[in-house]
Amino acid sequence: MKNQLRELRTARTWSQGDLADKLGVSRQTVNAIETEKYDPSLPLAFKIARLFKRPIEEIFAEEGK
Amino acid sequence: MNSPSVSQSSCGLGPRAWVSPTLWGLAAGLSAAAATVLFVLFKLPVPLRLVIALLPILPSLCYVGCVVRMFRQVDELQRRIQLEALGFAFPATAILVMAVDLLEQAKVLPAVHWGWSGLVVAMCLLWFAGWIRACRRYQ
Repeated sequence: MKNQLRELRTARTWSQGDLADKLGVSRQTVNAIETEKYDPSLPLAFKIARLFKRPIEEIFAEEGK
Repeated sequence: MNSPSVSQSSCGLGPRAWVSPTLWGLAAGLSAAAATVLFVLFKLPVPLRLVIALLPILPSLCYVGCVVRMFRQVDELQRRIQLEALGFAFPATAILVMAVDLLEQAKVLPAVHWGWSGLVVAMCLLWFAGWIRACRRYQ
């Protein structure tokens, strides 16, 4: 799944650690999502969407869409 | 939605989280080793042997409880990593035990009684290998 997490994070000048703290996950999790090696669970995806005040489908999109 | 308390360590757990499982693991290992030594050194009555043989189960169960609690505290990626590590270690241990047993039966390997401690060591090593493998995958 493709995502805009890195772009949204860097636009706010947050480090991966900052974002991890805000989401209550480890920095490794943030990195794995950003590099698209790991797709977050639905609760975590909603949390990310709420944090960035964006609809979930604007942050996460299926591969090839 | 519950948010687990997560530190900045790579595994998502602070050092304090490791204290209880380490202590209970040590207690389980030491009590099992002590039981083995007692059985070898002394000729004990059956009721006492029964108690000594079953005693290591208590710290072992506490250890399992601590590990399960740790799994609940880590974040979702760490849980996935642990699942993959265990998913690797469990069948790999079974294959290893089967292969060693068959090689012993074929008299290619000398027949050595590995016992439960050999099995535990194999499980731990294969779990560690699975953990490293899964961590690398999500790096």
